Amino acid sequence: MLQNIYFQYKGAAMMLFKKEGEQVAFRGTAFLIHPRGYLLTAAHLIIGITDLMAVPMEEHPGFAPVREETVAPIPLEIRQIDRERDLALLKFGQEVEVSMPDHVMGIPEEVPIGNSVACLGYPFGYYHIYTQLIKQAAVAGKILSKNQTRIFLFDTLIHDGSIGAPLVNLYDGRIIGVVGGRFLPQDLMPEHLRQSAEAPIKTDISYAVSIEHAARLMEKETLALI
Amino acid sequence: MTEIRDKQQVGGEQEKEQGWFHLDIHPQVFFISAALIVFFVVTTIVFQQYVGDIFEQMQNAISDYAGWLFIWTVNIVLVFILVLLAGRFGDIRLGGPDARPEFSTPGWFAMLFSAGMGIGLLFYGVAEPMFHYVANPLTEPGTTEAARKAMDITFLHWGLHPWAIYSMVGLSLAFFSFNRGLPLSIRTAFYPLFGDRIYGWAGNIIDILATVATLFGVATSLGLGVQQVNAGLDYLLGIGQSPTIQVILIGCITAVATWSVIKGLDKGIRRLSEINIGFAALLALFVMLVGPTLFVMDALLENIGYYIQHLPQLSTWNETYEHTQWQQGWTIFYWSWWIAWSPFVGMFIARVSYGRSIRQFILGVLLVPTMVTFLWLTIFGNTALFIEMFGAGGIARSVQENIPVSLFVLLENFPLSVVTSSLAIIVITTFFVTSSDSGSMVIDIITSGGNPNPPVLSRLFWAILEGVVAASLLVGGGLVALQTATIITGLPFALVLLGMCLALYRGLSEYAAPSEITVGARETRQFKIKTKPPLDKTFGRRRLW
Repeated sequence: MLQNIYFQYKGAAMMLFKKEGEQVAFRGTAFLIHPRGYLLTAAHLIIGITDLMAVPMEEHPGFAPVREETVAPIPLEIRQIDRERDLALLKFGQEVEVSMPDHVMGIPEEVPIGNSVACLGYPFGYYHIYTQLIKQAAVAGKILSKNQTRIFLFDTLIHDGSIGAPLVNLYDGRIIGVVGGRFLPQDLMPEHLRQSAEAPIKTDISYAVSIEHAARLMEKETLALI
Repeated sequence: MTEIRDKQQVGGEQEKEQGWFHLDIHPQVFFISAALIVFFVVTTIVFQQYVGDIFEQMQNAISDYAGWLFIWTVNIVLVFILVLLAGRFGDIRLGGPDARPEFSTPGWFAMLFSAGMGIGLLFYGVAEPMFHYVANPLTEPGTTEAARKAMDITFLHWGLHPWAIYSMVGLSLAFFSFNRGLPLSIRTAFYPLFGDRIYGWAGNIIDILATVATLFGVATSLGLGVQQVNAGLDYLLGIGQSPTIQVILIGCITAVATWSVIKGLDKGIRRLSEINIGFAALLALFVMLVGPTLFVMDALLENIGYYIQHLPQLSTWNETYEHTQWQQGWTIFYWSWWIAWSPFVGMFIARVSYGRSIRQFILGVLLVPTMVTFLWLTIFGNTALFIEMFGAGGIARSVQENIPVSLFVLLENFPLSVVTSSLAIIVITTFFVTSSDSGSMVIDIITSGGNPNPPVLSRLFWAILEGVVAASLLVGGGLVALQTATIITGLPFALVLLGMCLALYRGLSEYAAPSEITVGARETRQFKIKTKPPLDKTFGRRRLW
């Protein structure tokens, strides 16, 4: 099953770059969500940035090189941002033909705790290692944040480069969330506890924002949910 | 082609929007089918003896030389369906991942069971075990072992195999129609073989043949069936047996079936099927409670256990070493009969199964009906055997003399026989109605080019034609000849069934394979990569958390 998920989504998960003159700097992961060239990512990756670009995974027969010196990116436009939910909807800035299955968005409501999930991203992109990796996990919890955002907690440690990656339900192969980063308990602690904590509490739990919040951004663009 | 592909809307909305005089039909299939039906009816009535002889000889030849093919086919289909039930395709939903069932599970089950074999069970539930008890090919007749094997053979003929055949055709049509966008029509089953040619004359011919075969199948059953109903009424009320009474009965059944088919699947056919199953359950419950209850309960377990233990042996038995011809009249006839009916029943099952997963579909179409059939056969068959073996007897003789009357003879052994016999007549009649209305609905869908909600005028036309054909053949003669002709279609369709297994497996494999997301050609301007440190861990988290 994991093999099928990788085969299906390897082309969808792309590296996100910020353009700086004639150079580009890695910013995380974004993924295709609609055949009209729309991508989703975490909003905090792109705040204050206008020149965004995406690089699809290079197909390599067999074993792929881990380092690249140059890339051929596709320019992106920012179409919608929801900072409250930490989501951003991007669009290719040029005509690119995209082929996608009829259905990719899952129903987070129906995903039980304990369900197997996977995410595809570029965890070590910040360290000049541009290899796409797939990681399997289990849904450890489903929580509401203070601002009523529906969030999946899953039991794997997400590296910075995988932020913005899709969280895929292994049961039906549908995307159920957008990876936001590692879960930090101090985010939810009462203020007095947070201040008294000597160091950040380390966990191997990460979180993803439920895909239904992204659906609202897509509806604003009059996109049919697929 | 576009026109036929566009008719994929399942549900009642389209049905509501169309008025009575809307007539959206496939002209070639509709008019040629209607013309052929009239031609065959007239020819059969005029050249009755000659046509009857030809069809009978053909059927005998098929039984003689192609029995092994039928046995292979039904077993392959059963194994294939069981593999699908347990395999990785089980979660695929008919109509796509977001499709939801159109009918409740009890309503769905009532419809497919009523269309599948309801009426036959009423007549053969008592008769068949008795036939095998007094003339058993595997053991000495009239013994305890003969009774056990009689039930086993009956279970074989009415059990997993026929429902596997229906499941195969229904699943194939439903999958290719609801998941692959092909028309809901018999031609769809041939798509893997003919490709887009199914939209041309090759497909038209297939649909015309299916329409003609289905109409004759239903009409001849109706014609022959009313003779049996008449026999039952005569036995009960002494009203006599005559073509006039039988034509009146056909008229009544056709009127109710026409009403049902015009009201549509949900308001007509489903409701009638549910009432029908309710009456049948009441009758079965009565016989079980007032009859030899303990014997029936013991027998149910033993019959099922014996059937499972001997299924591989009995289902592959081919009379090779006995060198007899018993199977031709029984097992091969049944296999041929079920296969000939499978386009009609399979298509109807496909129509009502939108939104079910493949696993639900197979559980609902293969296992549940089989278990209900076994329960019914045990209640009626074993009660008859009990009376014959340990009671007053007389059932075997009445079966030999008149099959339909045997049910009433059985009921006479219990109190309130007038009430239960009347209930039996009602159940028989309603089963005829549900066979008739579902047959009409199937023909309507085919002749309207695969429209799951065919126009009302077309429904009216085919429902009435069915009754007219039945009445004409009853009065003019030729019912048996045309029924034999229908059964003959089982041979070519056996080959189609084998092809369907291959096509369905291929179709499901392609459908279940992950579809790769790809990005096409783009500009290839190269940018040098610059390294930047990751964002601060807490950046962007304030608002969310």
